[in-house]
Amino acid sequence: MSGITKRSPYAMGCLGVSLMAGLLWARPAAASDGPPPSTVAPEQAVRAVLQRHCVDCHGEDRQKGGLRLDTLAWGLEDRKTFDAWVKVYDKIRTGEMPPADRTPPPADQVTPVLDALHGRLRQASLDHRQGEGRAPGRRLNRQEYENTLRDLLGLPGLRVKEHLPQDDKAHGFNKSGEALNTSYVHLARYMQVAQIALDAAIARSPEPPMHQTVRIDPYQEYWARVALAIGEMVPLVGMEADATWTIELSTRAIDDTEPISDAIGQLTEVLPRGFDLLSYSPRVPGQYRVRIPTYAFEWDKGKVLPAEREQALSVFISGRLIGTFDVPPNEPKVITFVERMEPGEVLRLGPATLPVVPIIVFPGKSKDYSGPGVAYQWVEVEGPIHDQWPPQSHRILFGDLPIVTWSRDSGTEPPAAPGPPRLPRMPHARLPEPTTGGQPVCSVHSDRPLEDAKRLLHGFTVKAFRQPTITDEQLQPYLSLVQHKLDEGVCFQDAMLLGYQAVLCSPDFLFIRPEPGELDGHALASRLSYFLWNSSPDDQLLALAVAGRLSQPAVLHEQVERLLDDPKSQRFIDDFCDQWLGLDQIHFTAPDARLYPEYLDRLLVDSMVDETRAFFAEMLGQDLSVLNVVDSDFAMLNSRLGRHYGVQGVVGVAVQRVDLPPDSLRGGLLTQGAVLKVTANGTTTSPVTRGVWVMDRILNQPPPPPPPAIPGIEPDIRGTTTIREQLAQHRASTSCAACHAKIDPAGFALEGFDVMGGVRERYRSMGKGDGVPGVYYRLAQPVDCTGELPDGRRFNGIREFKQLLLEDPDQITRNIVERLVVYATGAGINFADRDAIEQIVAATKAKGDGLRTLIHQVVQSPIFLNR
Amino acid sequence: MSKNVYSPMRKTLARRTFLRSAGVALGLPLLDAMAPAFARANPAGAAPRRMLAIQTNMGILPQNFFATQAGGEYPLSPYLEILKDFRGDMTVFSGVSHPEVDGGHAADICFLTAAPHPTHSGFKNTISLDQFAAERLGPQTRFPSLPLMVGVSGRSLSWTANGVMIPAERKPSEVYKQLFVQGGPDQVESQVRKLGEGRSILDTVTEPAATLQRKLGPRDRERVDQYFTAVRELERRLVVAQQWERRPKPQVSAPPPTDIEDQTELIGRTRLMFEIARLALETDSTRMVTVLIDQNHTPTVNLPGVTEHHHGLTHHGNQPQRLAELKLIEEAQFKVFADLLGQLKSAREHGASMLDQTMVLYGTCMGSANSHINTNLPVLLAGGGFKHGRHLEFNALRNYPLANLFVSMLQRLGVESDRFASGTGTMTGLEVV
Repeated sequence: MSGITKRSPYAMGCLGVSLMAGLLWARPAAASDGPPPSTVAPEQAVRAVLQRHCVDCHGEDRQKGGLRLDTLAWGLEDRKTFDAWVKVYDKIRTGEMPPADRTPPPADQVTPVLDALHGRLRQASLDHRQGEGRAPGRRLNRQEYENTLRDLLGLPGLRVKEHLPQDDKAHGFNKSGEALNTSYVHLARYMQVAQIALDAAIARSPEPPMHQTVRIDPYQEYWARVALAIGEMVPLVGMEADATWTIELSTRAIDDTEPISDAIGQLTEVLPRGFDLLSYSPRVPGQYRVRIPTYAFEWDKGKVLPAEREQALSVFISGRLIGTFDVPPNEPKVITFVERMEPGEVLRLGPATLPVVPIIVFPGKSKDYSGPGVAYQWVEVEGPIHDQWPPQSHRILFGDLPIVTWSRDSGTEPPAAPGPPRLPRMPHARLPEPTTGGQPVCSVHSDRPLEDAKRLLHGFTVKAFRQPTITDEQLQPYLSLVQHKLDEGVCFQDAMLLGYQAVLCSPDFLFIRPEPGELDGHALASRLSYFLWNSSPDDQLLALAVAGRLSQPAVLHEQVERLLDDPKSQRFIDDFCDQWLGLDQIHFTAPDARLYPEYLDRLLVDSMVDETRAFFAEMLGQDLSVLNVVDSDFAMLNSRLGRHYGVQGVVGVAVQRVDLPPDSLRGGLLTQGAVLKVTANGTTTSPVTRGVWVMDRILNQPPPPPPPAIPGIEPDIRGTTTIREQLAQHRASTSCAACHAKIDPAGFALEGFDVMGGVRERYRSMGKGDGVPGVYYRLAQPVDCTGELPDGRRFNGIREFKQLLLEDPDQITRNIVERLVVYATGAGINFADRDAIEQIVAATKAKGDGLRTLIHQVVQSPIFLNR
Repeated sequence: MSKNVYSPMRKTLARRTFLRSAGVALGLPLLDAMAPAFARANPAGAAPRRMLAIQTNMGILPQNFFATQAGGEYPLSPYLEILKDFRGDMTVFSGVSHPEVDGGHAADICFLTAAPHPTHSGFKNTISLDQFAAERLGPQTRFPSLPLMVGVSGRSLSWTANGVMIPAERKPSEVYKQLFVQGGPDQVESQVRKLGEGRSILDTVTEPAATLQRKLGPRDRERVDQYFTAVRELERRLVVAQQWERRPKPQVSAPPPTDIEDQTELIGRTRLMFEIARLALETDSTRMVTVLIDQNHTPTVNLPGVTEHHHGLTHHGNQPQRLAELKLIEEAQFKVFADLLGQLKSAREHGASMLDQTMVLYGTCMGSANSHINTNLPVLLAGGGFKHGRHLEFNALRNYPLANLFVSMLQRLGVESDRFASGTGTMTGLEVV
């Protein structure tokens, strides 16, 4: 409870303004040291103490912070009244109230009041649940819906999320029933998405589609030849410039020259007009293996020189980044990956380390240019790749039933054709041939359709509904739907697909809705898998649930380890970090490119997000202390980030663990580029924005919103006033000062970092200041990173500030515990949860503060094991 | 009721899996907004009242927008100068905003809902003005509302009563197809059948309803009720869609638009969307259109003199060069808007101009994008049969609720409501003709 007893001259503010419980950086260590529920809770005793010590400021004459205690109702079923009493409890318990300049009530008076309030509040908090447990039922969010379809149907590359409406959040995450509403818009979209997924899942012929290997010579590509002809790309042969190319603008040069080139070189990351899009597109959707031999070279006004260092190449499929790969100097290396491609999708190669801005704007300009380049010799696309036929996704739906040619004699309607490709066609894609053109129409055949329908639907719904058993009564609606379609003459395949479509729109599939009380095996399996995989439980989890063993602590421990070791846990890492830290907002504001040319470096911005996720993954994988969130002696960097942060010796684009020098400003989350970018305000930074972010995301003490009608601060980049000078004015108003004393310090400590997370000693300016060679911006006033916490502790810069944060380690741990509990259970933290939270915090601490340990503690806690 | 409806008691003719063809797959966004058929006949000779609500979501430079003087003789500001031909057809407001709607950018989704605190934990949006009116006016047109957007994000101005966003259509060509392109008889019948199959899916998932609801606690019941309400609502829309499917679509002389994919062409894209919105209104395909011009993630707008990302420019830091560039963009936006007003004004129906029948709301969610404040919003209302021509000035420190304007608009549409969200009455000083 460090810091709690220190009195702040600013904390005398009224209850309402200082909504953040406790003094800055400290919060009630809550109920673990609190009393057990009291049997004597006389309202009169509480009221008497309040009357004596509080109503001067919170009574008839004055209502500081808009709070009046002498008339505050006693009925805690009302949420507002309840919240007010929780506030009273916390303020008294932490000693923030009564304020320092008042006589404190003697301890023997305070204790009975706290006892009485604690018992009542806890009971009221339980009553609010109305016997339903902490977490109300909820539907899947759209990311869970997509992941669940992927895993249920065995379609890892399926992408349907974008077709579903965005989800709202409550308590910081889109996992809560309070925020996950359902409307007819959802239903319409579920129908559409289920159909897209089922279309992708089924095989439409007994034989696999023809396996092809297509090799694309880039210099044979029409658009690449235009680019070569006008000097946007450079032709290479045998590691030299291909002198046979005459750079002209005539179409003859484009169409008639037979190049001897064996590679094509790019000198910029992006080419205008889509010259860098390859025209190849697959005819059938599926997994494709792509191979690209590539090397780095040095271009010098028409000549090729040996390159001294490696470059990097990003590969995109229809705008989606597939990966960024190292490109070695001078020796070709083959980049290989496997990825799902749809008809109409095309590849683009973007050398991530080359300049973004096109340098070559008229014919022949490459003759005058010198700089690094990335060459690639060809692009090979092989596929579709199947490890079996029909594929697993088809077998999940139709088992081993034969796929036969449809004929009129079958007495059924022909099977419906698959839908067309649903993704926007890229402008340069060659139109794929229609897949069924001229080929026989095939569909799944069953000799005993009703029997097979029941068997297949049962097997599918057991998994889809995540329930121990599916009763005949539950299955009947789907079965009768299929039966009706069969009666109408619809073929077996289409009737079944309609049934599956209904399953994927049904409440049993869409809702996670365990019974109140202790979770049964299946509910526990779902909670675990939607927590650590963001998806439905797999066969092993369901089998343990059936066997009734999952809730055994040792088994649970083993399963958490298994889930975390599985690659699917990356979904949890990404989704949790994105929402907790707001990484999904990385591109929300774009700084002025003249002030921050770094922002145009896509590799840098992508790497920043990767860094933060990798940092969390490293803590999780190695069970490192959660206090690394505040400060760490390592960072997760690649060569680009190393350059950005001034950390020497990092090689390659892969993010890797790097030891930081002892005097480094980096270490911990706060100094990571992604965090500094998402807390920036476009072209400027604001200590208020960053301060609020730290209070909220790291300390879990979100400050109250500013009172209405207080004008915000107008950012100014003319170089005349600093943000600190503006803030000083703002804080001169007493109504602002109390909150800003708590908000601003973290922001001041982070002033030493610009919007891109670079270290700065002076602000960049577009007006006044000193010129800097090679850039548009100037350097204006110096940055001041000093500050003072409300309790008077002072700091100079981020390193000292981090040490102050670490003086209350429990608060850092508690924040992560609470966030993970919200994420895992979909319910906010309320008063009745405090004991369990504190137990997790204490147990984690006793075992060394590791993040993995913490997750085990969460999972083994009653808060997780009960609804 | 159509006979092609699956029910456990009756066999049907429906054959193909729902949504099996391109047309239907693409048809879904508008299906979200599909209206009951059998338009209520208008009183003889009376032209219908309509609404078009437009929001650009990154502020409008206040110094170039607001008039400096209240009343009828206000001097034109630089942006209002562009709209000077419509001075008598519009009212400009100052000192208006949505009370307690804050959160900077996040407030764009509250422009037509006025739901407070969009960034607070547990925020739930409320029904938008267009949906509120469409629900109360009942079945009138093929589409009860038409949410549109220019931009790349998934945002929209239209929200259902339980706070779910109705996705906005982004492609003018798709809207055109659904409004005006008539399928052959076979296509129509197959479409009707497919819609029937959608209904049979809904019938299927409703069956466990009774057993499901029996044993639920109150909070769970609310969630599940919401699901079944959604099912019934979609069912109703599918029925209506089937009915409309057999009715001929209106014919227009305008050719199908070619979508502009290039995000830098903000102005051209806006023009195209305004054009399709106007056609939808003129053909009485709908009477409620919303257009969100989402400037998030927009690259540098392709206009002479503009060199920087659009969003970045709105964070101008009062730097003169950037203020000048932003002005270039906003002027071009107001020119496109002026063209739209001109077309509506010259189109006639029932002896009146379309503009007089159509309320056109134009505004933004931030009073200053530079400081991200959500007060003192630049907003104007054109057309719709009000006594226009004035600048209604309200208190800049204690803003007047913008939702009172929405109440005035609702009443003009014929919705008998004296409140909407934070609006508790009609707007002071705005009178109908």
